Formats: sequence, C-alpha cells, structure tokens
Amino acid sequence: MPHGTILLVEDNPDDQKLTLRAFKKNNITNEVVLAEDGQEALDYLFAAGKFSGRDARERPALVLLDLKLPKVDGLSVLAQVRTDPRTKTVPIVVLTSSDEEQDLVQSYELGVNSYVRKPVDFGEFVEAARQLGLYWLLLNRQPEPVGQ
Amino acid sequence: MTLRRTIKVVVGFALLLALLGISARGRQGRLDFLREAGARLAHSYEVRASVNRLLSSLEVIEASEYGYVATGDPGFLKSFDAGRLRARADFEALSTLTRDDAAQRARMESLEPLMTAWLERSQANVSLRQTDGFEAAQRGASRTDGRAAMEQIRSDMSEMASSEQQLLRERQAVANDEATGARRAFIIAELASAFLLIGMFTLVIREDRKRRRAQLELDRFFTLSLDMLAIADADGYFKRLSPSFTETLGYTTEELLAQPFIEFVHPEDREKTLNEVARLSQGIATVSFENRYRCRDGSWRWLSWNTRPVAGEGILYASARDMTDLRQSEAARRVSEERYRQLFSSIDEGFCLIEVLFDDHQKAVDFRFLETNPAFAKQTGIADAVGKRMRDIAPAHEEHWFETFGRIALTGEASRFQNRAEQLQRYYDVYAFRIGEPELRQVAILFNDISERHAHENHIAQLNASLQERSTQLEDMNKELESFSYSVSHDLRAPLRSIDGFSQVLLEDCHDQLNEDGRDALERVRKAATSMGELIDALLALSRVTRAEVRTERVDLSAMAAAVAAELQQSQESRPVEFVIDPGVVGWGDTRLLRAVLVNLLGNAWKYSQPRSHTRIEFGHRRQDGEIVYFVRDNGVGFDMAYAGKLFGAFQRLHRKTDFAGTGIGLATVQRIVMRHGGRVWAESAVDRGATFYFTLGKRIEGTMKAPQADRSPVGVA
Repeated sequence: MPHGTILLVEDNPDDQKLTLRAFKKNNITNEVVLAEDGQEALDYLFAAGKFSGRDARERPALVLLDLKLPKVDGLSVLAQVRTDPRTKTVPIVVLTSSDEEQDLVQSYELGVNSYVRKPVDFGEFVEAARQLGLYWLLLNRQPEPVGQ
Repeated sequence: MTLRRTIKVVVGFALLLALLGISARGRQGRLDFLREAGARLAHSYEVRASVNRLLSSLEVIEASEYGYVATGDPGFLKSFDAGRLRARADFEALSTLTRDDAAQRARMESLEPLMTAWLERSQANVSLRQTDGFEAAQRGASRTDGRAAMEQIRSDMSEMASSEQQLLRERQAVANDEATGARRAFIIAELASAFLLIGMFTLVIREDRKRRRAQLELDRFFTLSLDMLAIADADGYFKRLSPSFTETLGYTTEELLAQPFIEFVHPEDREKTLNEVARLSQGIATVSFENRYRCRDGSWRWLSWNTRPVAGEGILYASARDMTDLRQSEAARRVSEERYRQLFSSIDEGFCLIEVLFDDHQKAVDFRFLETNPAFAKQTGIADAVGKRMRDIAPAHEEHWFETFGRIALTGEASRFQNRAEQLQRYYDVYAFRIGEPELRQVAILFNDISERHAHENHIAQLNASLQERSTQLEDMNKELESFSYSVSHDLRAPLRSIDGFSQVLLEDCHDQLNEDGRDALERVRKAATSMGELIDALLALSRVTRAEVRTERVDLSAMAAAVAAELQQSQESRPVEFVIDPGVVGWGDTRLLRAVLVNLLGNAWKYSQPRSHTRIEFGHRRQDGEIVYFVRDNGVGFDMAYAGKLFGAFQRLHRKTDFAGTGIGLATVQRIVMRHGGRVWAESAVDRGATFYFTLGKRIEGTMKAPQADRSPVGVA
C-alpha cells in the first residue's frame, strides 16, 4: 500500500472502531486521521484550529465522510471542500447509514466521488472497506494538488 | 310677390298709362292745332278773295256804267245787270265769311249803306242815259259822287283785307305759342314715360328673377325633403309628389299621379281616409293621421299624414312620413314590455323599484317603494309595500342598506352584494342599479332571500376552517413522519451495525474463550440484527412509496418486465425458468414505482416457484370491462384463497420464513403503488396450483398525482 493519509470523519465511536478494524483486516496500513465532527474535518483539511501547525499542502489520499455529524454536517463539509481550490480535487467518499434519495442526490450535486451505504452486516462492511481501499488507494490516480 | 311690390307695379302701370294718355293727347292737340291753323289760313285767304271778288264785281259795274253812258250800247247794260247781281252775291258771301269777327262785321255794316247808295246812284245814272241821253247823264252830279263813293268803298275793302291779314298773323302767333308749350309738355311726358318704362322693365325683370329663384328653392325643398310632400286636388288625385314617395312606395311618379290616391290605400283604411278627406274639405287640417299604402311590391307601409287644405281652392298640401319601421319597433317594444311584465310578475326573485330619499346633506335617509313584483312579499314578508317608506315598515332596518342604495342613486354604479336585514330576519343576495333619469333617484333592486344558503355557507365555511386545521395538523404529522423515517434509516441502523460488528469481533477475537453455545448465541444475535436491518429498509421503502410524487408517463411494461426477468435469471443462472412476456404492453404511471411493482411481483413468482423443476412465469395484459388488466402468473406453490385477504397487509406472510425468505412488505408496497395510481390489485390461486396477480392502473391521468396528505389505509406500519 502506498503512503497517504486517510481522513475518517465519523462521530460514532463504534463505527470508528469497526472501520479501523475493517481497514486492519484488509491490511490497509495508511495513516488514519480521525475527525469527530465536521468542523474538525475542515480544520484538518485547511490546517486550522488544532491542526494549524500542519502543512496544508499535504492532502489526504482519501476522505471518508459521514453525513450526520455534530457541529458542521457532512454535506456542508463537502460543499466547502469542493469550493476551495486547494481541496477541490481531494477524493471524498460519503460513508453513511442514510439511504435517503435526497442525501444521495445532494452529495453528487456537491461533487462527491462515491457514495457508499454502510451495511448492517459486518462481513459486508469489511468487504466494502476492502474494495474502497483497493480502488481509491491503489487503482485510482489523481492529479497533483494545486500550488505544488 | 309681396303686396307692396304688387302695389308698386300697379301704380307704375297706372302712371305709365297716364303719361301715355298725356302724350297721346298732346299729339292729338298738335293735330288739332295744325288743322285749325290751316283752317284759319284758308278762311283768311277766302275773306281776302271774297273782298277782291266783291271789288272786281263793283269795278265791272262801274266799267259797264261808264261804257253805256259813253256809247249807249245796250251790251253794257247786260254786263251792268250781271255785275249788280254778282256784287249782291259777293257781298252776301263776304258777310257770311266775316260774321264771327266783330270788327269785320262792323266794317261790313258800315260798308252796306255805302255800297247800296253807290249802286242806286249808278242805276240812276244809267236810267238817265236811257231817258235823257248822253249829255244829261254826262252832267249829272251823281257821277262825280259815284267816284268818291267808289274810292271810299275801295279803301274800306282794302282795310278789311289788311285787317284780315293782321288777324291771321295774330292768331298764328298765339297758336305758335300754344304749340310750343304743348310740345314741351309732350316731350317731358314722353321722356317720363320712357324712364318709367325702363324702371318698370327693371322691376319686372328683377321680380321675375326673384320669382324664378323662389320657384327653384321651392322645387328643391320639394324634391330634397326627406318627408314625403304632396299636393292633391279636390278630385282626389295627387298633383305633385316629392321623390321620396317613389322611393318609399316603389311606384313612378306617373303611376302615382295616374289614379286617385284612395286606390293606393289599404281597403281597411279607406273609410277612415275618406272621412279624413271630408273633414279636410271642411277646412279642418289633419294631424298625424295614419293609414296604409300599397307598395308596388304588394307590401303595405304605414304613412302618417299632416295635411292642410287651402280654403276655397280644393287643394290639399300634405306631408307624410313612413311610420312602418317605427310601428314595427313600437310593436316589438310592446312585446318586450309585455315580456318584461310577465318576467317581472313570474320570477321568484323579489323585485322592487324604489325612490331614495335624501336629507339636505345628500345623505340617504329612507326610501319609498314605487313598484314591487308578486315575489317581493314572499321574499320580504312585507305586504302592500308600494307607496310606503322603508323606515315606516322596518324602523330598525340597517343603515348600510340606505347608504348603498343612496350611493347607487347618486353615482349610477350598479352593485351586487349580500347582506343581512336583521329586522326582516333574512339574508339577501342583492343586485341593485339606478334606473331612469338620475334626478329621479330611482333604484331597481333584484334580490333573493338566501338565508338558508347563507346558513349553509356559514356551516361549510366552519367545516372548511376545521378541515384546514386538520389538514395543517396532518401536514405537520407527515413532516414528523418524514423526519422519523430519516432517523429510522440512519439512527436505528447504526446500533444494529454495532451489534453485528462487535458480535463478529467477539467471535473472531475471543473464539477460543467461547464454547459452541456461546458462538451459536452470537451468530443468532448477528442474524437478528441483519434481519432487523432488512425490516427497517423494507419499511422505509414502503414509506417512500407513500410519500413519493407519482409522475405519470408512458411506460413500456414489456421491456421493464424483460429487464427484471434478466436480473432474476442472473442471480441464479443455472435455474431453468421460462419467462413468457407479452410484447408491447404499455402502461401510464411512474416508471420507478411501476418498476418496484414488477420487481416485487416477478420476484415473488420467482421465489414461490423455486421448488418446481421447471418454472414458467408469465407477464401479460388483457382488456376487461373497458380497462386494461395486467397480470403476473407463475406455476409455483400458490396459496389458499381463504387467506387472500391477508395477502397485501404489511408483515403478513402466508408461508413460513424457513420455507421462503422475506419481510412481508413486498405485496403491501405493490398494493400501495397500485392504489397511488388509482388502480386495484388482487390475486387468484390455489395451493400447489400456482398464483396469478392482477393489477390495473386506473384511468390515464396526465401530469402528476400529489402524494396524499395522510395515509389512512390500514396498510401502514402494523
């Protein structure tokens, strides 16, 4: 697996733990940065708040974004990331429990790369994590960030 | 021509005649004068000739006397005697000629004795010669005296002649003077008459021109008048007609003049027409007398006549007007008046005509009923309202009624309104408008007692208000339901995922610490969590069907069924299934929802025919009672029709879960979708004999069907 950070935006500790376990089971060893709400995710991406020391030019290889989040919700995070030139090409996959049509439509309208519904069955969840890792971290090529 | 002008002309002519008389007399006078002057001249010459004749006669006597005396020749005696006779005659003639002149007559009287004496002396001398001979006679003194007398006679006679000449001259002078005066007067008269004649001529020319112009004006007036003008005579013929007659009646003027006018009059109108003519002959003018005249095309036209007779001349001057159209419109007006009356008295709506009464400040304070129709009393409960004032009938009648009717009376703006009359205990629908001249302040009111309707409307309004309230509540509830569904979808699934996930973690990480029962228990926990997740998803799907908008479009159901069949076949490729799909089956509805119907029905068919070694699944349609019935048929295990009622309920299952997997939501969803399309769904089956599911999509409706505000069917969450 190549290097690159995965930003996991997830407020539910159970889901955090299960996601990390799924990565581990699939031998995804990339560094995982955890953001527990939308604001924290934005702070990380734009090197603000508690991440202000970070080099903003180092973009995560993949953002896994839940929609229902405290403070700033997932769709707002998506909107802000896509309107900023520094982050608008960062691959973002919505990973959510919601199967609502409107969430799906809005996510795509805001420019999400993929929309994955978290399955209840953990086995299926592990499989989903495997495929995501395989595709986004291994197969997919992305442009160099702007300004580098 | 006016009387004054007539007098002028008559006087002019009289004057002219007088002048002509004068000049004629002048001319006559001149002729008389010439004749007189001639006569005078002739007289004067005659007198002088007569004087000369007398003198020569006397000289003949004298010469004869001398001759006889000297010779004694008797021949001289003969001429002497003849001379004496002639002298006598000449003297007589001269006296006759000069009898009218006193001076000459006096001379003649003095001459007579002288001449008589001279004649006697000469006679005596002759006699002396005869008797005494020559000497006696020669001596006779008488002879000497005779000569002197003769001289005297001669001198008198010449005086007479010259006096006559003088008289002639004097008379001539007087006559000349008279003639000059007469000529002057004559010339003046001639000139005056010439001037007068020129004046008269001018006057007559001018009068003639005026007369001709007047005639032209009269002709124009006659021919151009729109009214029909006629002159008729005592014999009952038209004498002259204006062209409008021919235009109105269609005859030529000649045709109209050719026969008595009574011939053109309608037989029914002849008697009264003749009566009218009789009155005219008595000098009574006709005013607006109407009768019918036959037109050339055989139709009749009503004419109204104003006729004036000219007394004594038997001539009628008439003007006529075509009243046909007016009479027709009059008749039409009477018919419409009659209709209005009928309408007025037969409509159930109340009608009244009122006069609005105002105070000094133009404020309507009351009104008086002028007219009411029979329905009025029924609609108001007021009997015999005409002539009464509203304030007297209902003192508490609301102010707004007076204001409204007052405003209509003043502005003329009609008004429709509904309002209550408390004292009459009624509610009215009113249409009021001003009628007639504004200053009459009359308002016509057409109204209906709508108390009952008003009460119903009030009731309906109340119902509507409460319905609106209910509807708002339902909308709120629906929103709640939506957010509930969202929570279900998101929040309820998360714990399930934890339950399943951590059971798995336990199984993996603590495998060795768990015995068989423990592992089995964890597996059951996981299965239960998965099954609950499926239930939640199915419920959400059902709820979405309920909430979704139905977009109606043309859907190729055959193609859709084929696609679903292909997906099913793909999920289990080895299974031998025969799909029989009618081509060209089309339906009108929401593509996504209809797809859900086919997925469920074909999926059920696939599922419940699993035990068959050969599965046959059909999709088709047929026409039945004017609508299209679609069906999905299988040769699977079927079901007992006794439980058919439970088939479409949520979570209702006719088979054990161990036999066939499923949530029990599928057919409920199908039924919900079909109902949203206005259709029905039902099934026919028998155990082990396969099943057929039928559905319809109701009437085709373009556009969209709104999601119902509330789900009142019992199919919801059980």
